[in-house]
Amino acid sequence: MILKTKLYNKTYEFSSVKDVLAKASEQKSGDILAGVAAESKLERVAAKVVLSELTVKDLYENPSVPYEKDAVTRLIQDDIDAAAYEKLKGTSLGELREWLLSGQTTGEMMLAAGKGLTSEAISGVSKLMGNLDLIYAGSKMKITATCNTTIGEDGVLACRLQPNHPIDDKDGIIASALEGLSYGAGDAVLGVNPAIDTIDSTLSVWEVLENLKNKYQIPTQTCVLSHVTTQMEALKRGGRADLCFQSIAGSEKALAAFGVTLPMLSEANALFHEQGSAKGPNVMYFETGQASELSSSAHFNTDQVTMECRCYGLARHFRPFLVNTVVGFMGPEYIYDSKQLTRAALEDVFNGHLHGLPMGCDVCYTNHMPMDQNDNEALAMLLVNAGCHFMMGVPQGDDIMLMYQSTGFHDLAALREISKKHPIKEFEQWLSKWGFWENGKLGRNAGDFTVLLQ
Amino acid sequence: MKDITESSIQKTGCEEGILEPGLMWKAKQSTTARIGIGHTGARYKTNSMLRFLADQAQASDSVFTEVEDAVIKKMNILEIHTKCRNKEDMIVRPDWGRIVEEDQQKLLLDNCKINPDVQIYFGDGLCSPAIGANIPDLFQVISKGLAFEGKVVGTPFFVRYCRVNTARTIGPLLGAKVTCVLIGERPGLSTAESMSAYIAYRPHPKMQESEYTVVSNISRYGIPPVEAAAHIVDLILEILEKKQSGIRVDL
Amino acid sequence: MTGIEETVISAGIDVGTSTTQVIFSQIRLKNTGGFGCIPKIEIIDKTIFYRSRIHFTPLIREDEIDEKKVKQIVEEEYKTAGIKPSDVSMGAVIITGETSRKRNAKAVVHALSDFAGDFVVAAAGPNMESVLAGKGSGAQQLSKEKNCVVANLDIGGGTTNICYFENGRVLDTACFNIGGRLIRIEESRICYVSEKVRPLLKKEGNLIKTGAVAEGEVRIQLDSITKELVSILEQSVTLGPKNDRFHAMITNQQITCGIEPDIITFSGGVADCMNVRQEDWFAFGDIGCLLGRELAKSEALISKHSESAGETMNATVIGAGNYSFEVSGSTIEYHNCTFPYKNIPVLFLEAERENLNGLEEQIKKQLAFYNSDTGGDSQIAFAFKGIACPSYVELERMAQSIANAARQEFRNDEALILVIESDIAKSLGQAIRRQMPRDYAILCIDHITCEPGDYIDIGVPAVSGKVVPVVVKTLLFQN
Repeated sequence: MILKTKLYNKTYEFSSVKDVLAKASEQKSGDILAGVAAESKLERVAAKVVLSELTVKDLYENPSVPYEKDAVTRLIQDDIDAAAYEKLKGTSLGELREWLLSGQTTGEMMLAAGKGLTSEAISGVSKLMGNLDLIYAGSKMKITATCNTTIGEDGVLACRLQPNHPIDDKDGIIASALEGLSYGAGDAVLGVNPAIDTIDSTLSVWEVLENLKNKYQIPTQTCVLSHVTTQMEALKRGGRADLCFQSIAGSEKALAAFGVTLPMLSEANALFHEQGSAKGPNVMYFETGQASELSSSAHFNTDQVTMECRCYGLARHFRPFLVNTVVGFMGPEYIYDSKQLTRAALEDVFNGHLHGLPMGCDVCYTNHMPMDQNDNEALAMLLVNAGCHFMMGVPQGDDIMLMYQSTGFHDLAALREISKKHPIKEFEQWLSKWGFWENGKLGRNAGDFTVLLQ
Repeated sequence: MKDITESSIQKTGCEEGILEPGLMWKAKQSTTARIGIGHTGARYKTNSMLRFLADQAQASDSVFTEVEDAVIKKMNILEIHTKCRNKEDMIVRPDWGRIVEEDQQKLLLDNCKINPDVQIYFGDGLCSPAIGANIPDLFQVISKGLAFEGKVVGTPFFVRYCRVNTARTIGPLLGAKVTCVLIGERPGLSTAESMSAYIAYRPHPKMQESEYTVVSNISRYGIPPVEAAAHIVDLILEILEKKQSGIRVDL
Repeated sequence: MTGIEETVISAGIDVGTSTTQVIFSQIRLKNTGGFGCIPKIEIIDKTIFYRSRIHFTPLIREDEIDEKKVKQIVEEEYKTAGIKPSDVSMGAVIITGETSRKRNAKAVVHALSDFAGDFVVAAAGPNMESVLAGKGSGAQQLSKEKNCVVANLDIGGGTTNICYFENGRVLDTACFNIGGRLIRIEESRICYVSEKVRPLLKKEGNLIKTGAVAEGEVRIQLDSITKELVSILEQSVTLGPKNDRFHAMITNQQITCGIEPDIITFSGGVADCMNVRQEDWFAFGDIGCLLGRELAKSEALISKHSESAGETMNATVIGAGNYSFEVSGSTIEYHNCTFPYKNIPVLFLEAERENLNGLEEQIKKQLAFYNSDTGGDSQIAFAFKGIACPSYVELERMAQSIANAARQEFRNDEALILVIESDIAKSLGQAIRRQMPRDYAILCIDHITCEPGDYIDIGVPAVSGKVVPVVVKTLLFQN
């Protein structure tokens, strides 16, 4: 294993595989803040050169957090498909990149290979890929998952309807939800981030969403994004919902900062299989976002792309219905601007896909990032081409509870029209029954939820 | 021309092609979300697009502009700064935004009352306009209220490029029992003047975030500054009495 | 503080023309403000957990309520429900219909409210009756759900109380002397004819007299009277041209908003008689069933009728138990107060940005006027809208004007009570305290809308002392 190279006659030496991975990363303000980033563009390239010669085995044997010390590492390593790993372990990351991009390599072959790759290996190969590489290779993979409906079928772009309200007001949530439905949002999930994380509020928002779903016979799934323990307790008290949500992170310590353990996630998964209202078999909904580990000082001097990948390594163990990278919510100290955000989103969606996950992306930014809606719209267009499973639908992209901007109902409709993609089939049929979506575009009643109130 | 930001989001909507406009307006009363805005093709109507741009521009400007010197001069208070050199640092180096270097500490020691019951200071945080818009009313009401209850209020000052956790240094430095930072909030759309109060009993470098008692959404669009101030007076009195702050204290 | 919850018990007592009822409810109050938010305490749930059986209202004679027996009924219901008066934090006693015009009605209602719990208020007046019955029937909720105008007609023994709601808001009220017990029949003979029906009796050949057997020609006249009563009800909700009999039957006021309701709901005892197929039309000893039958035959009313409001017989008592009160804003200021305050007359001030200059004079004038009217020995409250987001300077000026006037004009044993619409009670209360003697009793609450001439009741603070329950007894529509 060689950790040293020369560029233009200057020697660049790296201290560890972890150091190579970090310095090979495209620039992110979070890696600079953590003190792990390359100091020059040339050093970054040198790290990529060194990385391209490392093998799948090198990455397997050098996890970012030691096996003995971290439950997430253990989960990832124990889940590795031994046969797939055996086939690939001698492959260098440079060769792996070419194989992924090759016209001979199908999406199915990629997904089979992905099962033999640790999160560090997947992170590593993505650092050797340009933005278009990520889109080109990523778009080949077809990944489906089934809750009440099936996400990830060919030609589908789904949407999470996110009708948040600053005080979880029922009427307010319903108002935004109805508006979203009338623009075709909501096939991935009707999912509310509650303002107050209590069992009562979880139960009451579940009831709002379940009532909507049942009243109008909407073929979709419901979720309230409170803490996993809150949802479990609410379910035990007789509440009804389809999906179990949790934010996850890439190390045991970072999970602890969220108040989460792996046994807790297993328990939740089992409980929702047993008592949730989903048809299944996929009942989990995870959210991630680069640098959440750094923000709780639980990154172990690892770069944020790699820690993010470890979230996907964790997620795939639970066969989730949805995984969503909330890419621009952490703030500019982690992802500074549109350029960094675009890169991070493309990395996350590709890396998640190679882990076999139905990846969605909350294309978003906070107001202390030097960004605006144009940047968001451009990134959303790229992600459609990258095979992103779903994006958010928020009223005009302005989330009044979380105070950030995401993609709007209109954006999803426009993206579908432009790319000739569709909502999930049963949901599309429901939409056309109400005249919200007809013949591949917004229908005669689009934007008029009052037709639902007759 | 009319100021397009004058009417509230809840009173701005598009009835075009709506079967029951009354029901749409009713739904809008329950949320400040941008619903009932119509569409042209799959895109926004010009009015709603422009309104969004205005609100986002205001929010963005409120982060990236400086608190003007004149605002601080008018309040006639001392100004210090953190380790950040500019707004850019402020945004990407939250760690620097909590560091008060020695020369600045000396300024505080030379100019401020030592060991007050309550030290109140102001920080730009992520929203500069919040200072000029809220501090004059907010501070007067808090300090008058505390003085009436016989509490000694420290010398107020302004910290440029300020993060909440400056309190971990400044609190012990000035020996205050309670430290209250009034700081600009990260703006959302249409809340580009909002301020929060972070209050801690004897803050220290190793304290937990959960040891702050927080009052947020202070602005003329949210909780009126004078009313928030009166609430803060009661909170501080209770914190002084219980010798504890944060979410574990039932206030 | 986040998510903190408190459940209190509320009582409703309705002493009506023919029946007396008691209910108890659990009222859940909760702080719905999230972490870092200013507290926001709201009523999140009301559950009726006890409904008494329906008692006949005991009378000593036609114009006097049997005070002792009513009290006995109420006491027994408290006992059966397992409720002590001290358990009850809010609610109302209401004397409705003809009963409210009995000689001793006022005394009875006050005696009951004192017994029933610390903050069970005495409600009176046909307007309040109409509003409470409308809310208790579910008509208010229906108007909110359907976003339309709903008129509730609460047809009781002695009166019909009408309330219009528009999208949940009270729009108008009216009251008519129309009810099932205006004429009573005992063993087939008329035993009582209320004065109120006199305008409808035949000038010549009237057979509706005590002692007459309710058959043949008498029965025909009874039918024509009930027909006439229903016709007046149609007119009352603008569904027919008004005649002079209409005006004669008005108790205090008719509907003046001029809006035709989208939906009509019925409550009160007579509403339950609408679908009854009676063998004996005088089963209840009155004309209630006849009136119900005529009502069901009215095409004008039935075409707009909805049964989805839900409550009929119990509407008024539920109104009294569940809808008589509201809670104040959650940042309020009080000091040295002796709760509860009951029946406090409200003096209305103009204390907005443009009236600040003359505020002190305004208060003094109002006080002088009120004192010359009443002798000035009772506790009063000032109410105003207030500035929505005042500056420190404006706040201080407001406080100074109010404190100056109070220092000069108030007696020392009188509390300074301010009832404000805008969210400024705590800041104004504190500012005033700084200007007044230390121990002066001050109560300053917000989020409450009053009108000139209202009376207000203010209960004991709840939910860690953050809010007070308030009853505004409005005389709003009584001109």
